[in-house]
Amino acid sequence: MSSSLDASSEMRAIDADDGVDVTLIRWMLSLSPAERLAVLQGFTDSVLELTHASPTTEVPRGA
Amino acid sequence: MLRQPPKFREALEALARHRVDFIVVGGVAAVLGGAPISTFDLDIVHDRASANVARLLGALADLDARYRDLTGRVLRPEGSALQGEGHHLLLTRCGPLDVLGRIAGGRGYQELLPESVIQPLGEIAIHVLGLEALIRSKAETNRDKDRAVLAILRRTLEERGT
Repeated sequence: MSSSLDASSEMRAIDADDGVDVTLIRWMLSLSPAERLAVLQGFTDSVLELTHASPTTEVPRGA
Repeated sequence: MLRQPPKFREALEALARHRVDFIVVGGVAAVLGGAPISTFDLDIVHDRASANVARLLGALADLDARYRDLTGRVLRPEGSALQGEGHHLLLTRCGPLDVLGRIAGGRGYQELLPESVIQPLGEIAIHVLGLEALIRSKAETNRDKDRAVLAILRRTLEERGT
């Protein structure tokens, strides 16, 4: 039951034609320009932190 | 791997501190306009008048800017080049900075200024290309990476109007 509710909610959040998540857009629009820039900065910081924390490892052949 | 992580606000503050006339375009403009996308570089279109280029050179020196060069050479931007229409893909102590004489459709600072909005960022206020113009620019460029964000930009514009 709850999974069908979740799926329905997801369908409302994501446009069927272009796959754009409208909830994310509305959240960004609720922020000030300075806050939006801080979100972007936080994202890039996180990605670079994860990149440094998790160096690429070779996957053995046949694994 | 980025050796200089982006520091968007610090880069913008340096440009403002040196009184550079510029317009933020590209991904950061989209984010400031409310679009939930990501980018790692800051794109600006600058006024190519000689007095402004002199101020821009001061800001770029402050930011330790040099061209992104795969061979590792340290090449610094020069005033004569910045007065041209080309694109200058730089790396600064605040991350990648693309300084553009013109963007798609051949539009430079003077043409884009009426289509920009002034966005406050704490102590500074900067010109940012409006979403409508940004969408038009990306549609004209028609590169894969631009097409990928067009749906988000268009929907953001719709949501802003509702």
